[in-house]
Amino acid sequence: MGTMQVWERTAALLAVVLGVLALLLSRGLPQMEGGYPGPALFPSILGTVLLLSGLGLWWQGRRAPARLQGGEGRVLLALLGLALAPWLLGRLGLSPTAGLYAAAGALLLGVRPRGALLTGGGVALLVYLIFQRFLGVQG
Amino acid sequence: MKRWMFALALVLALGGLGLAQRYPVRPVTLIVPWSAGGSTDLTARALAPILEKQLGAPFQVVNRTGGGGAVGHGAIAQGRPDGYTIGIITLEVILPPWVAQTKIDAEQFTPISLLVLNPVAIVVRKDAPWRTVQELIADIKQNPGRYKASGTAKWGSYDFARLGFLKSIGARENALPWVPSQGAAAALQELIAGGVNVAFVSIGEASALVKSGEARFLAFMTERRFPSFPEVPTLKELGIDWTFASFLMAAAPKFTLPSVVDVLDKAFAKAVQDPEFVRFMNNANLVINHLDRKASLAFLQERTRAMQQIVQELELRF
Amino acid sequence: MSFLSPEALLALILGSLYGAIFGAIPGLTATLAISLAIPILLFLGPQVALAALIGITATAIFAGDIGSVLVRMPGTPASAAYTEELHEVAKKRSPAFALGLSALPSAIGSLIGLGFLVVGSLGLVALARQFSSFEYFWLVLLGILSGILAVPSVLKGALAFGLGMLLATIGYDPALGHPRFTFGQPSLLGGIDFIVALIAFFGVSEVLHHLLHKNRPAQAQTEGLKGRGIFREYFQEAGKFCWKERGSLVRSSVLGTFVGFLPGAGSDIAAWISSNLRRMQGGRPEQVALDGTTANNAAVAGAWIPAMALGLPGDTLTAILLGMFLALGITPGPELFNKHGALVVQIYLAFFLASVILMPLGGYLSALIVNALLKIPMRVLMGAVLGLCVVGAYAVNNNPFDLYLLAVLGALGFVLRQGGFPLGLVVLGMVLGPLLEQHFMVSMIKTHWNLLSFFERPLALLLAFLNVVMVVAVLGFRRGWWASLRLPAEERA
Repeated sequence: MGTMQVWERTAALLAVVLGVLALLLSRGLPQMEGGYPGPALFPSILGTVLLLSGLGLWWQGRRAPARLQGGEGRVLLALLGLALAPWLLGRLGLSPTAGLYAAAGALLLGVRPRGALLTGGGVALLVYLIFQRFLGVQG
Repeated sequence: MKRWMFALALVLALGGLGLAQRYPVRPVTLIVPWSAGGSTDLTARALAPILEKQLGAPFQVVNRTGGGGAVGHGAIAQGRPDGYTIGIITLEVILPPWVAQTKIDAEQFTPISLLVLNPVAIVVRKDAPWRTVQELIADIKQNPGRYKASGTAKWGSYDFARLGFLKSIGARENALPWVPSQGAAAALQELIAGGVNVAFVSIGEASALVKSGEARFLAFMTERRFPSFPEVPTLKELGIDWTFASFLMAAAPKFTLPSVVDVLDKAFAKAVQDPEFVRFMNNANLVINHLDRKASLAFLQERTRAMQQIVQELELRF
Repeated sequence: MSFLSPEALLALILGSLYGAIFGAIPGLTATLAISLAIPILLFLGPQVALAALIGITATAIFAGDIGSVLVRMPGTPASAAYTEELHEVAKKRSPAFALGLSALPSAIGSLIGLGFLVVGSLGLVALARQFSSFEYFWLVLLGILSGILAVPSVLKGALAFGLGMLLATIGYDPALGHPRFTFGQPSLLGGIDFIVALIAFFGVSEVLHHLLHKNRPAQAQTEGLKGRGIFREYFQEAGKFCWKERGSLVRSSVLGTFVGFLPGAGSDIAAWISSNLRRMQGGRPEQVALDGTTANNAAVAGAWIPAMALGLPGDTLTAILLGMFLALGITPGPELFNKHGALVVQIYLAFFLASVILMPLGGYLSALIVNALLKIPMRVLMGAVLGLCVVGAYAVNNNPFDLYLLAVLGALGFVLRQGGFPLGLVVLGMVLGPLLEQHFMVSMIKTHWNLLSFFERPLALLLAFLNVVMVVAVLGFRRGWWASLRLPAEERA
């Protein structure tokens, strides 16, 4: 349960931050005629819900032990890699990008280089056949 | 910036002179700013094979969706003006709130051909107290704010049909308040369920309900009487100078060579007469209305001015 | 429009097979199957897409049993309720008999559920024709509250739902048409694309989950399917057993449909209730498995009743399907039945074919495929999933911006998943949240902010009352209820 606590708290913190952000940002939204709340109504309700539930969860789990597990580096690496996708897509095209991500993902997951290459090649071929040939997606 | 663009256009024009003779030599991308299955997409996909046959180059329909049409319209406007990136633009480019939010306006396109014009109708429930649109107008003027209308989202296309109507009869924006809906179908359900009193939707969208007797057309916002409902008057003939229709228009990025646009215009003009296409559009309740590139440009400019006039006269803020 | 065109039929068959494979392999979920398939289906038009989706959903739950038989691991949470019993049967008699024991009752449960679906949805639609924004508001609220209350931790449920609904507020607001939280980004004006979010939540977060737990022990060895007397075991023996148990087949089906129909409770809960009832009566493993598998498949059809008739999802899977309906330009509810009558008939028909023909006949075939696929390491599969997520998210809108969303939402989904938050509720928030706001705002604009108008129409009053009853009843039941059902803390559909 220890590792779950870390993420539970991360999520609770995230909810608090997003809730506060929603509350602050929705103050800049226009009102309805006659001073009734308009676009800001539901975001402020949701901001409050997030803030309260986030705080509540934090309070509930305050005594439980929390520790990390050691795979977080890989997760972060994968996420940063994903953020490069729009740029790669413009450079390489659709199916090579897909293959690259499949290969890199497999490699990160501990597949041997040859297996990862095979995975990437297979996915690239699949994407080329289904998406580019059959469905006509441009990449 | 302006001068730079002009120079760029000049270079492109000079470089393109030789090329324009044999346009198109490679595949043309036809961008659709709305998702697959919608009326814009259906029209584009029905036209593509016909254009392909006429011009001898493949026409690839690409849906660039998202951002309420902003992404696709932006992609058309920012495409290379070489005639190989064109698209179908819609009413949004003349709606002031949309233009203000997306920073994309009609100026950024070179019109090729107006393709489809879907005129808007004023629809009421079968048991509504008004027999004619004049009775409705008199009632609105006597009881401003008492009745509600719906059709699309706030500041959506049909909201401007209402605003123009109110402006033309000399009423204020809140004389007939707008109830936002997720689309024409939802607005018509509200009309039938008694939630709103008037619906502004396209003729095709309401025709099934009118034919089954659950709703009535009071008037159409067209220039002339509409062939399939000859008994319904137009606002114009009643002395209310207001027409409104949602439209689909083939357009290229600004600075596309006139000679290239001309080739495309002629191809679209022929394509919309294709019997297969005509049958398809009739089934889809879409009204083909072709204008050549010069008339399309005039149409776009006239509509833009009309919308800006509404904003000014009704003092709208968004 | 034809009832089932050849393309739709092909899509149904391929969808069933695909759903069966994803459902059967532990770790690949039905939601992941749908998330990866949707970008492809979007290009094929509503008829074909819906046929494939029905194929996927109808068979994925049944296929969860294949995992139980082969590796003693449920392929989907819905099979977890009776995995041990079913695996025991497979060991004692034969895998073929166990698969038959799973396929035939699944088909029957699905069929009986379908009967209720046809009758129930038509009946509910007749009622829904009189609904205006007030009634819809209460209805949507009912769906939301029951979804949140059905989760073991209400706080986590509220947080997950709130996040989903907050994500859905991005873009034009329904009342004034004013853009919210777009940060000047035109790609966000129309809001976050539901399908991109789906791929991020169920695809990317799954891959990230595997990255985090890379060091977990290798998966279990498969039993292997031996090829002798398959037909006799699979059809004849299992068929005979089903005939003997026909009474409990009907009972479990009705129970499953009802549980599926309840908003917030889906196949997994149906299976737990049904198999636990049999356990308490001291049933043999065969009987427990039969009751469970009948109920969870009946619940699939049951969950479609409110989804089709009212636009109210019964579980995570139908919440996703509703989002799909909307993405295809179809609004569920009376409008679906008015304007797309042929489509409704097609949905029924596809359901019928999937449950009566594809489940029993394709069941063994998919088990053979799965047996082969289980030899591929999960790492390779997950690598491929990552590549497909990138392509899928891009292909939906041809918009590179969506790939940034994919990374951000994938991270969000991952954090929520690791923390034991139900991702299904995030989806529910994204689907139902905007509806709640829309119907609330429309009602208020119509009546000039007269809050009492929510209680003035008789049907609205009734629905408001139902909300109160539901909340009180669920809160009352909660404590003993969850303990007795042994529901896993981490709900994954």
